[in-house]
Amino acid sequence: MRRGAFLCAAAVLFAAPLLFGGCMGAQEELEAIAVIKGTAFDMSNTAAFRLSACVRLADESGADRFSIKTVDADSFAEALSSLPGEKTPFMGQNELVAIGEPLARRGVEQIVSELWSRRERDGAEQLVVIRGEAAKVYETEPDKASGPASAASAALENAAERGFVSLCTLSAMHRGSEARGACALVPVAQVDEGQLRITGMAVFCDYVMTDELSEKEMRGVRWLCGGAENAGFSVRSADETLGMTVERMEITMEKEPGKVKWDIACTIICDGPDKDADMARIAAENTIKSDALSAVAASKRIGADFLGAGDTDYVEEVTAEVKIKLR
Amino acid sequence: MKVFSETAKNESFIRDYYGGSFDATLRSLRMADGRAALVFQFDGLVNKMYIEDAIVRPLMGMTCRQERGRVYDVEAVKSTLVLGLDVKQTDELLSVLALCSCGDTAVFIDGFDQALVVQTRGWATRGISGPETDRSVRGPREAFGETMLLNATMLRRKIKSNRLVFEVLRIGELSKTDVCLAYVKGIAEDDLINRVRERISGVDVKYILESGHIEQLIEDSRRSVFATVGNTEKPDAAAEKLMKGRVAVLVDGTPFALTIPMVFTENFQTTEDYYSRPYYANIVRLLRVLAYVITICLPGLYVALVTYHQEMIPAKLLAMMIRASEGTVFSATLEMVIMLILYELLREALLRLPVPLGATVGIIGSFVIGDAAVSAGIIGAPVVVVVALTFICSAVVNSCAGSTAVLRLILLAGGAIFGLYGVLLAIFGTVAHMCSLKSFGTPYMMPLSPVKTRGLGDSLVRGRIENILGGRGKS
Repeated sequence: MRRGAFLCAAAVLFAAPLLFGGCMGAQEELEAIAVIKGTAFDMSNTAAFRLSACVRLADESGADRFSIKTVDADSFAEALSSLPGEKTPFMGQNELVAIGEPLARRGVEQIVSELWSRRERDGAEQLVVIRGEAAKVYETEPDKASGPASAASAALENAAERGFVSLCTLSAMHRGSEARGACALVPVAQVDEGQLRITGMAVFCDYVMTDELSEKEMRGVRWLCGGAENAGFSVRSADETLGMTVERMEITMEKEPGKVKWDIACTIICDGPDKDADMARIAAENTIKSDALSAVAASKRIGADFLGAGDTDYVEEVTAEVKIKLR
Repeated sequence: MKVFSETAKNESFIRDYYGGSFDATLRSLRMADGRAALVFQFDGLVNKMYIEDAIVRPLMGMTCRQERGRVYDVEAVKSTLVLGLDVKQTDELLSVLALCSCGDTAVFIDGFDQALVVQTRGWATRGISGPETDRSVRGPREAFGETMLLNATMLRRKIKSNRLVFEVLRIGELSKTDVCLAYVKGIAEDDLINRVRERISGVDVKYILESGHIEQLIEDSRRSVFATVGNTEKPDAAAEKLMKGRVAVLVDGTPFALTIPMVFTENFQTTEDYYSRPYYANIVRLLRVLAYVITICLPGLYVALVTYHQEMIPAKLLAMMIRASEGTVFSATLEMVIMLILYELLREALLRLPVPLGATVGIIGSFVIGDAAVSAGIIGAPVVVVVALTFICSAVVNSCAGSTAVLRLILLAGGAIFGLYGVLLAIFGTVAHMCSLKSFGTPYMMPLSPVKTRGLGDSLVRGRIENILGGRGKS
């Protein structure tokens, strides 16, 4: 009797997760799925937002082609279910989430929360704010075999690696907006003649784009928060412009009551072997200090702690020590 | 039933008993002293030349040493006339006949109610050939044959110790098959020997034709897909196991010896591992483990991934797979099931067909499955790749082909119905089942579960050879 009860309990324990695991009855054959490589969200007059999905399709020759499918909806689930086409939308390869600037300024909490809850990519999608209409981002690089979403995503990654742009994933946005007093920085780009150009960083507080950092402030964030290795920038020195590349950098932040101090030590490679190293060093130090202070000022202005200092109403001090390597 | 003192009655009884079978040969003769005698043997089971020289000629007084005097009893015939090395004297007629059916020759002498049984076994054998199932590059090339005595001899040649014991049992009501227990006294535990002896003695069936019959009748868990009795056709492998404390069971008429107990890790061990240096041997052994996992899990994992968890497939691979699946007729699950059935059919056909025809069928089958089916859009190319990889791995661990085929289907069903969760649950259930199995009192998963540090020296990896050969690395 006890053995029978034990076996029944074991069977129920095994069977229950199988039934509630979510897999049963949810199968999709590969040929029946439409792989969404990128999504764009814009304002809609008739619904909460307009979703434009960049869908990969295979043509008869087996080559990939990409199609933009647009739908107005009040929720992401509704948008997916009413997306035109016979195939079932598959979000597991969504690389990019583009948000139109007007919608970003209105707030994207619903979109981010719904995307985050799907967990197909575990929040690894890149976020970008597009000036004007977000769907235009999928009109760039039409000839690339990897498709417009991958091309835009690669352009963002390249800008982060070689420049001063900070990338923002869906999970970073979720974390940044959920934490009290914290915020998220999202790259801002615009589409010019079929090319994606990064113009700044949007500051999101509580899922709402509250402000935008200029290029100088954007550089300042990277000087103070790190991650500027391999980034290139230029400085003015004695009426000429010097090209520089950051080779190595080390940032120390000291917090005292009412005061935060950053020490930035970096090694910079300067183009032009005939230049005066001291002049270049001073110019670089001045530029770095200036960029950093403008980032601090922006943090105060916006009231967002994107520098991770804890309090925005502090007395700040920035010192920069630069070693120059002439090339 | 006692032996009759008249040869004519014995002859009549034997003819009736065997229903006039053509191979039951009776030879009446008159001995040198004029007394009638009857020689009985089964044609084909005996060495006729030996019978002529050792029995017929002496009885008829044609040997060099002529015995012209009268014969007073059977004992005198046994000690002075019959030249055989192994001669038994008995009055039980049915046991005489049973021995004759094993290749012995019976001599009935008129006036005596006892018979002499002379060992004259000598049937045709195919000789010693190479193993068919467990070939090795380095190591002995010989395999067991169909004759139990020859197989015992092969073991005796490997282990010349007086501690190597052979015990013969006879089972099968009609077949009366000779079964031999082999073990090394002092290494094999007495409890194990008794247990094997009891189970084999307890087998009550009409016939036994192969060791596989006994294997299924004596193993602990007959419902399990896992074999808990090992088998080998290589004398060196059997000797190796005997030296590790196993009991071997040789069955007359089959070239496969059973080894008891069997643990799971034995599936990944070959004798060649011990003949080569440990580094490569261990790499190969770990590859066998990997092959075992792949051959069981791959079809189920593939179906689970492409059906439920597409997000886990890398982007480029998924794009390629979608392209390959465009235009195919069946679902991924059905494609996989079709391919697995096709493969099993092909495998079965190749096993049964003559070698030249088998090669042709193999080429045609592979071509049809691998190319035509894909071109026709019946099967997607990734499924063909997965099935090919599955069966290459299956060939690596051929010793457990039976259990892998069943487990593969269970995991495939789990993956097709419940996705990765189903696959993991099936694996969990399988491992739990394996941990519950025992082989003649030894846990099937030893030395992994329960962990026995002493046995780990020769389990999934091979330790130092001196520890293994010295008995300290017993697994």
